[in-house]
Amino acid sequence: MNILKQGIEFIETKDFEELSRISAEVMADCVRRKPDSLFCLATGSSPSRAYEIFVELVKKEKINVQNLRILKLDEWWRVNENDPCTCENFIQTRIMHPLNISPKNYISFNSDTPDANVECNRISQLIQDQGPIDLCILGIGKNGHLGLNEPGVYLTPFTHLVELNDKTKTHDMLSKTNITIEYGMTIGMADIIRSRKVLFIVAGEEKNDSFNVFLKGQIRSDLPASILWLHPNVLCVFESKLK
Amino acid sequence: MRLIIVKDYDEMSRKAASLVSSQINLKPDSILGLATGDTPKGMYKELVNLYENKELDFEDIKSFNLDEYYGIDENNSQSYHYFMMNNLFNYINISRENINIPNGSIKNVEEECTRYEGKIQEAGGIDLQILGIGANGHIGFNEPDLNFEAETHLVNLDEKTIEANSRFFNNKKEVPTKAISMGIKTIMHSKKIILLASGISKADVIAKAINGKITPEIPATILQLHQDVIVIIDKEAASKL
Repeated sequence: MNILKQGIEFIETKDFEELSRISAEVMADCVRRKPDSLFCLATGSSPSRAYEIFVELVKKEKINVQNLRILKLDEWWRVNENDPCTCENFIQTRIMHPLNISPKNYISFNSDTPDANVECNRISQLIQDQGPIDLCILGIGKNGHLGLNEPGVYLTPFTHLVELNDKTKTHDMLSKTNITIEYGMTIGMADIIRSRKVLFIVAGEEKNDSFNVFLKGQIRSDLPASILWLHPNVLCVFESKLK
Repeated sequence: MRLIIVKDYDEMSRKAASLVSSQINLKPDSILGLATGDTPKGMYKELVNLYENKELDFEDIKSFNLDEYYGIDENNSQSYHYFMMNNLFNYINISRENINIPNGSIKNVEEECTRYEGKIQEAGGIDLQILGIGANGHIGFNEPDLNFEAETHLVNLDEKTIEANSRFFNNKKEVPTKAISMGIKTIMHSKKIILLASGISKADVIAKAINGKITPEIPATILQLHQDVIVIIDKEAASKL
């Protein structure tokens, strides 16, 4: 079922498989129309199946991804990039290797950089040179975060270092490591808002509370995902049980 | 944000009018978002001059004003209807049916907000939005709050705003306490935005709007997220940057 509310197009899907299939189609469609698209990719369980189907589609339909460019949305800080918990590991295993994307078409926060601010500035410059993002794929945090833009009093426009919120420290991905992660790096709100299109994937029962606050349509800094109401071209796919 | 610092109010007005006139010449059926108050007054005067010199044609232009006081008749000399007619619309060839200003004397406000919002969407959104800024950081009548209001809505005016407006009324009791305003989302969906400010009284808030942290407590800070904002301010307004 499609609903248009305040500019966001919502697609209610019957299950995770259907949600993932629709998301993968959106990705494929974008790269078919613009082979050098810049994708900004979230990690975690919500988009994982969509990426799998996207890789299948690319192979089955021989979609040209030679010029596809990938930007990693966010990353933990002070952890080796080979650690199983990193976003790097996720993107490498599920996107970069299967699609054989060249490192020159990849923009990525380095997780064990000694100076996170320098690293954020480097990524910011690359986004400025290569942006805007054509398709920004986002999930919602249990606490309403977007990328690692955590709930707070303020919104931050560009890439920055963040101290993780307690709920974020319980993130699925962090259960894969013994290291305690306290900080993360993420692209900012202006980077997201200036993307040409946003694919907002909402899956998993633990997202029920934050998604329902989001649906109220209020734009607030303590629910960073709500900033998506300001974006003119958002497609939100969600599991029907979450409404 | 692109920042243009000019000498004084007159130069700000000329610069802004020249950008608006480029927009109109490039796209003669542009949808303009318009603001009221002392700040854009000079710009409107310049636009009228350009029209009189036959350099501008408003025939296919549509306009949407940001806001209007609630509980005020449009013929009241303090209404924004009255302001727009007497500073711009009466002197140019815009079609009356292409002028849109929220109706501040309507009973059913909610219906009016929905109608107004719908009309903006139906027109395809705003091409160029002109904004002033309140000393409290408001844009339109989006007052400091705990969240950013998305769509056209009824606002309880801030004490500071009522105070600032009281100079136009005989006594404070006549000053409207509510207004209908376009929401932040509607403003942010505009393709281009021009923010104007002049004078030392706006210096603090301009510094916060441009360099401060983004918070609904200073609504103009949200403009930092927009990809195409031109800020035109005079030296005094820029003095705390």
